[in-house]
Amino acid sequence: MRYHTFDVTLRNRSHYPIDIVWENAQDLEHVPYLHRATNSAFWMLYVEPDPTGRHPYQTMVFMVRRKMLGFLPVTSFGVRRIAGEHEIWQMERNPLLRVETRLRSTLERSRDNPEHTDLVDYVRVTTPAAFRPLEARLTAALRRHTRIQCDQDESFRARRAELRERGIDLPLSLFNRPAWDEVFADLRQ
Amino acid sequence: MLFWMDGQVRACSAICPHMGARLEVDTRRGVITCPWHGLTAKIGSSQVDGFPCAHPRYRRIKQYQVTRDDHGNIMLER
Repeated sequence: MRYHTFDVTLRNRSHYPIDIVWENAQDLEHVPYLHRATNSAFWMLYVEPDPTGRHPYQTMVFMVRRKMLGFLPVTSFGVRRIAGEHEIWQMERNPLLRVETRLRSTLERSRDNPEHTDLVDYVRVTTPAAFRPLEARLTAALRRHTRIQCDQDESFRARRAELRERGIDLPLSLFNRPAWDEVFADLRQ
Repeated sequence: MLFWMDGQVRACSAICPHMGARLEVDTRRGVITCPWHGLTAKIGSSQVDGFPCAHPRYRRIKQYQVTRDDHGNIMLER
């Protein structure tokens, strides 16, 4: 099968400091709740802890059910890695559509206001060659998708900033138990 | 967080014990939910449902006894 690959750079801005945006960026489990218009379910399959203890995980394997066109359920598999401070790498593949995205997601302090953060995503998309005429539409859909998610994430960041001001310390932590842990526990018995 | 259900004023913490999201009340279903990660508790029970984590910090949502005095003032039991 022949494939077509193209690159997209997506830029969004948050009105919150980089450490708060970084918390939100590492958390994937909020996707089906905070972004329920575009995602309907998320499963954490396997998690490798961060040996430094500075991040809630180092590598995560996940399965996510996206809503294509806002209603069509499409399930993808992905691997996500915290590659460094303020940098995440992610690969996601949809086996049905044979579409693959490779993402390098970075955060930078905004130059004009260091209390704001620029989110820059470098995305490489690989699709079957038949999708080549849809490249412009796929690019526009990706831009729209990340812009909407960034806007929705601002409520998360606003609340985290508010808690910080009130001196309430509830650090970022994984919410669910990875499926692998349950499988492994079952096999042990 | 104060809300009205089944003819009674009720009160619970508005802070999710996981990461502090502002909890939401669904009086029709009788549940308190977290809009970030889906944590759910039945109103009145304070036990968190639908949550596989064994971490004791996440297993309860603080709910308060509410009383009203003769002047209509609402008193929360700490």
